[in-house]
Amino acid sequence: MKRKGYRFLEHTADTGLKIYAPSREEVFETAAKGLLTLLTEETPQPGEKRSVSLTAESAEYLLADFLNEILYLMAHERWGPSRVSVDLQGSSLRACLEGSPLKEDFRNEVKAATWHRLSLKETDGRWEATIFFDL
Amino acid sequence: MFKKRGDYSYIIPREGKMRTEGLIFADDRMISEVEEGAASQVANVATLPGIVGRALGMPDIHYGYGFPIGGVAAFDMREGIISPGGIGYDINCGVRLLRTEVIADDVDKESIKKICVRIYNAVPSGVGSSGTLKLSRNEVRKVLRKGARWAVEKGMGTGRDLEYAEENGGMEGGSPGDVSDRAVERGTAQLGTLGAGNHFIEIQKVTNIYDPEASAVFGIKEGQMVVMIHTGSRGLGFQICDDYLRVMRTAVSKYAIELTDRQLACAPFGSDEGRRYFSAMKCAANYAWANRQCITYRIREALEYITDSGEVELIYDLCHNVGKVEEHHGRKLVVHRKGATRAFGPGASGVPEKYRSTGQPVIIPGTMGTSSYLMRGTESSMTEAFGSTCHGAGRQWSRKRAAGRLNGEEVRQGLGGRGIYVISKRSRTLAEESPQAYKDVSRVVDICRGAGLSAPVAKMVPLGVIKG
Repeated sequence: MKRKGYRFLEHTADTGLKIYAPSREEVFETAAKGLLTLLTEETPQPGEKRSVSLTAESAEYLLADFLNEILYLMAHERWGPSRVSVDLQGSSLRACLEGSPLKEDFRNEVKAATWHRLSLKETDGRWEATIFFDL
Repeated sequence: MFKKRGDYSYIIPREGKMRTEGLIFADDRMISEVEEGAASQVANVATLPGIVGRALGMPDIHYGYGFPIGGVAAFDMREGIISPGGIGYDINCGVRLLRTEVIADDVDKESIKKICVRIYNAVPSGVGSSGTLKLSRNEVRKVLRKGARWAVEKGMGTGRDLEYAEENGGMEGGSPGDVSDRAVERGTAQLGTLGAGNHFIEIQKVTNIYDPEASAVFGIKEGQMVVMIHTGSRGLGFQICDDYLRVMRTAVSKYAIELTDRQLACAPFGSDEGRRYFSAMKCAANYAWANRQCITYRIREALEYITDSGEVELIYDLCHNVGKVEEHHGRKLVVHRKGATRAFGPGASGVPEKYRSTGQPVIIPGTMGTSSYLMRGTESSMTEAFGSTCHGAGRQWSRKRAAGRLNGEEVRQGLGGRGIYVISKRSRTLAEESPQAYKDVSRVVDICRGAGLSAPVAKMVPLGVIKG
């Protein structure tokens, strides 16, 4: 079994992501890659740096908030991350992103990362998360 | 789980934390197709504080997040809540129907194609599409206050366009101060854009008249060419919903509201959080009305060469994702409609004078290859469903399933073979949005008729489709 990755989940109106990784931080980083794939076929290049700082009531909410931050960068600023490094401390997140402007049309209009069936948990040393997007 | 109530309605009996029953409008066949998740979502809505009457599911109900799509619920002004999840991310996603004086059969296929291409070039579409209008943040705030009136004042419409829109194309009391800078920023480049997904502009032909009296009042007749627009508040609306869901998740603890699903996050309607969200929601709704008005302006320009000096008039514009304060059964209520349309009956206030005798026009979009319907609101909709009805066909396949089974180009060719010209940014969208991915809109409309939620006036079929 691969150590980390993601797969898409079906939902009548929307699309979800199932993410697994050895650490919580890597779940966040992998989820960002999954969101990128959901939106575009383009591969951003490292170069421009951005940072994201967030606090939330739980790690699950942090994951949704983090993906909504990335979504804003992609949908509004038309900028995509190629490298994502996440640091989690309690209820706070600091992320360093490196990427480049996106030029091609997106393949999906993602309105937001939702809290519908949102989960983030550790099982037998492996972290797993589920998150659905409103399309 | 369901208890049959009549030929067109099923009760979800009260149990557990439900404060009231749920009710889904469906016939025997449709109820068997309602996803268990969607029915559970109706039951979850029934647990929310201050709910009045039943938690409702329209005939096109399907599984959403928090509230189902096709969900209607009304709450007491003092004891009840307001929930962004009960309205949706695309605040005031809605439809408008324009009538031309053109007889569709007088326009050849090449001209339909030309009109579609002209509209496609004039109305930016696709994911995250941005427009030719670039507004300053201050100008966006004016749009948020004025709604469609902003566009009319800029010369992009007439007073009649405002008269024939729900809420006259703008809700009073929205304060841009309650909208985040980020949401305003997202509004600077998207006015007059269609977006992607299930949003569309269609050139249609009226093929059937079911109610000659109402159709005469609505100004349509068999064979006439009409234009339908389906879009909403774009990124600005998505951002406002996301911003306020975060506010609400704190409010839930502050006001000790017990939730069965966190996507139902809400605040008491009268609280500071509830008041601010309602104000911001109105701003997003106003942006959506201005958006559809700007698109209307472009469509009128595109139609000029076939309509000559003929008028292109608005029949009606309505929302299917919105929260409203309305009077029902003698009391003021906070009505949430998510994927549901207002369907006020004859004599109801808030309906243009011209439509008082018939009930308000209700526009039900179908899919690219099927038909759309014009209906009217009924008295029984007022008593049964807080003056509400369905909003469309409702998905039955996920986008992934549709794209896996169908090929966009084949869908385009298939529709072309049936005389429907389709222009779209992405071919995959055509597969995802193909008719097979949706329930049969005719069945949905028939249940609305049977349940008395709205009455059919006319049927339209597409001639040309512009998709994102």
